[in-house]
Amino acid sequence: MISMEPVLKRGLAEWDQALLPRDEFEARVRVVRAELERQGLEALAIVNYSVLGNLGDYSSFAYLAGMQSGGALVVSLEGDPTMISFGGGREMAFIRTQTWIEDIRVGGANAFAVMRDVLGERGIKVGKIGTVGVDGMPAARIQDFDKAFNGCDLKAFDSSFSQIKLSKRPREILAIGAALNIARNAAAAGLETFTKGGSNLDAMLAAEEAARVGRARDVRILANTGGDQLRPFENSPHDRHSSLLLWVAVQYQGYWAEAVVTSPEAKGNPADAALDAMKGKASAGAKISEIAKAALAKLRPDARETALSYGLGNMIGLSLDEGVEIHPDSDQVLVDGTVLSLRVFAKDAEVADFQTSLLEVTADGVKPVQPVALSGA
Amino acid sequence: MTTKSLESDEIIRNQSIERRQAAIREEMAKQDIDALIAYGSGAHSFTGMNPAWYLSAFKQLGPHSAVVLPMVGDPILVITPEWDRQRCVERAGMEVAAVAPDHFLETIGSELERRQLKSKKLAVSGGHQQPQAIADAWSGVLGQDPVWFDKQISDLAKIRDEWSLTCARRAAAIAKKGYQRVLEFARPGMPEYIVAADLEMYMRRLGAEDNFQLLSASQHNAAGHFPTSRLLAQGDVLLGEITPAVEGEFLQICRSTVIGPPSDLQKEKFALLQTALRAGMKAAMPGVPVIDVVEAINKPIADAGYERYTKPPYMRTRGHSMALGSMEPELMPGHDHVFQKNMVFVMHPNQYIPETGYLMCGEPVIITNSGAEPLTGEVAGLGSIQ
Repeated sequence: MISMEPVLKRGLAEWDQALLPRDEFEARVRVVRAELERQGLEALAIVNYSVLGNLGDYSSFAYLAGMQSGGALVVSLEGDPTMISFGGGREMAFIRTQTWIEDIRVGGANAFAVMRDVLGERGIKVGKIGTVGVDGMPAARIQDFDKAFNGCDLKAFDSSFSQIKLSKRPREILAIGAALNIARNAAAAGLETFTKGGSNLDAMLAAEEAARVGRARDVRILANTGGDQLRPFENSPHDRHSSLLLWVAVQYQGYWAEAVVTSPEAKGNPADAALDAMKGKASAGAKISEIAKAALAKLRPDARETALSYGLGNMIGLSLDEGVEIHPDSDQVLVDGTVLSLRVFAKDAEVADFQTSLLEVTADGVKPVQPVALSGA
Repeated sequence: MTTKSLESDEIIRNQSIERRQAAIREEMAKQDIDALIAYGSGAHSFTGMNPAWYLSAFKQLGPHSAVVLPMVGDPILVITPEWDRQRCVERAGMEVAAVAPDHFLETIGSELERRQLKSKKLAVSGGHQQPQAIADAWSGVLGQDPVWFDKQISDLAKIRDEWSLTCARRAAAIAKKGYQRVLEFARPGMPEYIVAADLEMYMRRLGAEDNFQLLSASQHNAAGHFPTSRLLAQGDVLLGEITPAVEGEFLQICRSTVIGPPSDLQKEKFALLQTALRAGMKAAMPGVPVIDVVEAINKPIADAGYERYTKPPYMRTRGHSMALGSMEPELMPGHDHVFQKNMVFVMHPNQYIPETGYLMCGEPVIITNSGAEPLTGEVAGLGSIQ
């Protein structure tokens, strides 16, 4: 789902070691190493070129480091990973509280050279190195990276890493469940405000407040504050509309989940019917196009159009959209162990209905991700 | 906000947008450029210019947007996603094409063809957040290597116009009220993130649609950072970079607040940063290079024996633009920016002091003929929560 990107992901920033302990990350490193070895690679260099809060796709970095940040990682076949900061050093004290990685170095403007030094310390002078995130950098930084790794045989590992990340580990399902719990509580707070006579904008604000107090790191909210379309927060008049359509997405420990509100309940529940149709078709190996077509078949023509425009859903995890879209033209199939966020925004002249469902894909079908209440939240 | 003020806002905004477009057309004429594509990325950044936002005053939701500004004829704003059309139509005073992200580039191409501009001389301003894939695609979409036009947009945007200043002043008022709220709300025993959440929502209710905010506390801070669940304790220094945005214009204040009564040592060292800030404000006149102001800020700190702490890793910069139209000025060595009248930026001698830890003291300022004046009407004091 497309949403307004904030300039800084500024909610609670903390490593939840009860949810994602050190041994979880050590296990992930072992999985990545096995794939490196299988491909004949001696090490992996991960770059997330995010500076001053402009957080790009942090998923690869966070998968191994446990923190959502810009920076670089070096993972060799032996020894613990090394993290290299893009900052000038004043951030180090804070970073050390956010990750299980112990070897953290200040890279600053020389971060790529530091990465190469780390490889050299591990006896890898001119090796075959897998890379992740390099193509996402500006052209000038790609040149810097290539220069620092001059003489190495670099091989893009992005696609392999995406495959590793796609199927979720048990603790990732828990983390998504924790985010889902915050999102549902936030949506409930929005609904309560609306039910008590608040405006649609008031409902948005109540939802965001509940999410932030509920320990969210990032919050995205859209609502029908002007007509039946979803909109981001804007400084607009606090008009109350006859219905509330509210979408809340929450990130906790890097993991995303969504929840929605349609109030009052839409006549005929067309979005629910379409969601049920998708659930009935979804299982590991199922064609994504067939799942999408099943939903569209349950909707009237105008509602089909809005459902496709807003999207019927996607894989979710360390990204709000992991890039596998539920669409009738898709040529992909569902992968076992992925988490699917299905979504139907069905609007026509008679009704507007919006529903979502967060599901784990298994060989036998799909099962709902269970919300996980955080202790102390 | 009243309907009347919304209407007057719209007038100011539309006039400013017309002037921005006219000024850019003048620059285009100097190079015989027939149309400009001013691109905007939805990866909104506090430190990255967004040319589409600057020429439309519309904050995009989707990953891509662009203003196609021809020398002759009306501009068009191409946005993503298609379902954000109505919001855009209501807010942007120009023709709108709303499309799915996958159709963005082909829509730019077809709009240029429709206006018979494809064979003409074209320019692109991509801004700092333009994805490499989009930058690489322009030559193919336009059928030519475009003239790059970021500098012209930045040179115009760094001098604030009426709409920019209206939003900036509104954001300054929100930031001040927000800090006052922190003083009233924060208490020993509260987690940092709860204070941050309360401040965030307080400013949102005042109209701030976004916020670059760091809020954290320690008895001896190494730097400011994101809020954690650490509980505020007596004697902690709560650091806050508070940066609400109004219509995409960010405005930052930097504050240090002692939980409990400040010690004489804390007062003394904070006063040093105030002196540095005042020295910088006095020196920052039109025509003065930024490096001179950096030196003016650093001098009293160095004179007090802290010269080594006026450099990284003990600080980052002495100030910077917060506008999404231009990243000038940046107050650090290596930048040759020169102050001009009506530039707006945050000036902040935030840094580590060995006896007290990191302290923040910063104001959003506007360059006038007599130096930099704070848009908050004050120089930050050392706060205290009793």
